[in-house]
Amino acid sequence: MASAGSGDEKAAAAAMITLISSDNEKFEVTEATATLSQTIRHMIEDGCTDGGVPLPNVTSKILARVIEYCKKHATAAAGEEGSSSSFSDAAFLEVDRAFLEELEEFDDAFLEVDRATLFDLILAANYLDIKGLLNLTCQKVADSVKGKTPEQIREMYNIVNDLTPEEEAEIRRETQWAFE
Amino acid sequence: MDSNSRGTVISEEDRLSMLPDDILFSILGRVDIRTAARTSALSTRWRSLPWLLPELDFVVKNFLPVPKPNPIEVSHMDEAMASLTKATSSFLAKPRSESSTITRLHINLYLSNHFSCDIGSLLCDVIDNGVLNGLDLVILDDKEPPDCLDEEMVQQADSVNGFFTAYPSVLACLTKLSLYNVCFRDWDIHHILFDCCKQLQHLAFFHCDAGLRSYWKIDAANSKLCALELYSCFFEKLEIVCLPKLDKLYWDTWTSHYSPLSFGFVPSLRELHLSCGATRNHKGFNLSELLCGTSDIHTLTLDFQGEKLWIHPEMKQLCTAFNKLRKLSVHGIFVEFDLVWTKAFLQAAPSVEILHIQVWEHACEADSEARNITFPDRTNPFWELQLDGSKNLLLKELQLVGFRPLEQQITFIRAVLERAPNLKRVVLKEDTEPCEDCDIGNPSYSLTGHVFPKNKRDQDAVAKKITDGIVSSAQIIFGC
Repeated sequence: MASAGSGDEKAAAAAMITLISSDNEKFEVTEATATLSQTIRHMIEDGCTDGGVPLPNVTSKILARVIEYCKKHATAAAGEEGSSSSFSDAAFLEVDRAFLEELEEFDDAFLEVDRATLFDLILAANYLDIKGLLNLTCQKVADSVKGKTPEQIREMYNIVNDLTPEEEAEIRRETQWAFE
Repeated sequence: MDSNSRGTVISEEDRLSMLPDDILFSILGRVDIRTAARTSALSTRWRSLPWLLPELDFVVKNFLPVPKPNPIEVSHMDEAMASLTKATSSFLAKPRSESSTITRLHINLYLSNHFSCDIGSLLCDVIDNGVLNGLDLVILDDKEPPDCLDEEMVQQADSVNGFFTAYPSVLACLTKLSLYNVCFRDWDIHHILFDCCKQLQHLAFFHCDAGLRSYWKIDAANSKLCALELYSCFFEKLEIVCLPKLDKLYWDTWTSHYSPLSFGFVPSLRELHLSCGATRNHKGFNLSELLCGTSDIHTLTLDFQGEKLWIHPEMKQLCTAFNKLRKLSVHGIFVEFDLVWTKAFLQAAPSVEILHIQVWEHACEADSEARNITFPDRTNPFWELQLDGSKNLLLKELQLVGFRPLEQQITFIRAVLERAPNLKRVVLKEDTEPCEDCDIGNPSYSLTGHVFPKNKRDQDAVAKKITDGIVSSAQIIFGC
């Protein structure tokens, strides 16, 4: 079973990257962890990561969480590459099904955050272009609105209804099928 | 954005509406189409958002007045089609600019009423306006194969053909097509699928054929088709003369007495799944002959559905076709059958990395008379193996689903351990695939009197029996 520790040790020989949050906190991470972000991957490819990567849109609190996610998922990616010659097809991922289950549990626990943090994570995942994290956080929001009425969604997310009663009536008339 | 709203009222902020459009599309793309449409009534920010979604799914069964009915009443079907049509119209009739094209539209419908005309014209409009890039169309028909008569299949074919003739733009835009109960004896399906459907990548047929015991030949050098799925399609033979992009072929249940399939030019074929319960009529065939013409298959699944084997004993003959094999699955092996014959496959496939075996045991069918009418007695496969002492050095994992501590299973696992010195894992599992009939009866009943070892002590005893006297670093893992 691959673990976070062995993954890090393996990568220790590889380059380290410094990420700098909006409140100037520095985070040392392995390249394997950092490159889960396509944005950072491109910076590395362009050779502009010397002296650290400033991330003015991400606070240290959120960056720490994002790195936690990337570390876990980078281990998963490395484990897959290390365990087989050139398998990349999804069909073969089942080899390490136990690890995938562990990853799923990690994701579930990771999402146990307040709403403000969830939105910060969405924006950070979007800015850093971390597909897995963006999908995960968007799914969490989607699950919360599924099957809900507009009134329920407004209440849940403090959405102010600025439609005139006439406008709202018109929208509801046009989409009556969705309200049946 | 850093207004004075920070501080005490921070929890009141509407962070959701502040997200960029792309992210809101991603969120709305993960909810059902009704919820997505309803969000247009949230506020002015949301009013036009759902109508610009890049990916849309319209599934008729989600519009039924009662969930999961069996069978579906005609009036309910009409009601569902009426709602589906309104939904489609809400999304497709609104003008879209070229910058907000629909990248994928999945529509799943019945053709049995006039609503399909409305949907057909809506589809044609978006296609002709250039705002639809990919169409995934499913034309449903709920009749189950045994109750569906030939005339009904011909009739369904007429409806489908009528739809395509009336809305020809649809064909040009199709990336995926699924058809049910269509007998295309009287129309030129080849022309439609491979000349008109220039974008078609995925084709799924459920109980479709060209008439009883028909031959169907596919020769389409320019086709982009990469996945072909056939379920209960009763061709006498499907001859794939040329499908250069075909990557995956899946066929579940055929009636051909001999080999149902042959290949010509399929240079991209990597995955093949063949599944069938052999009836009294199935005479069996040489797998090597069926696979002749393939050279790059890396994933092969053979499923016998608990019946006698529909392949003849072969070993050396399989070497060419098995040369690139990396994952081999042999499923549906009757529980009382030996497993050692599968060693023939291992010898023919030196590159195999994963071996999946699934043993078939259904207590519900022990003395079923219904079974005896269609299926012959099960004969234990006895293959004369001329093993050459070669090893499977690349084999990493053996998974055995439906494990019972039976002599033939233990012997087989031991044989694999000896063949595969680099094996990392032997995963033994219970068959958790639900079977309604078995679950009704006594779940712990077993045809063989042996059950899956549940507690640690029994598992340790089994593991010891498996590895006794064999030097192997493979882990024995009991899953569920």
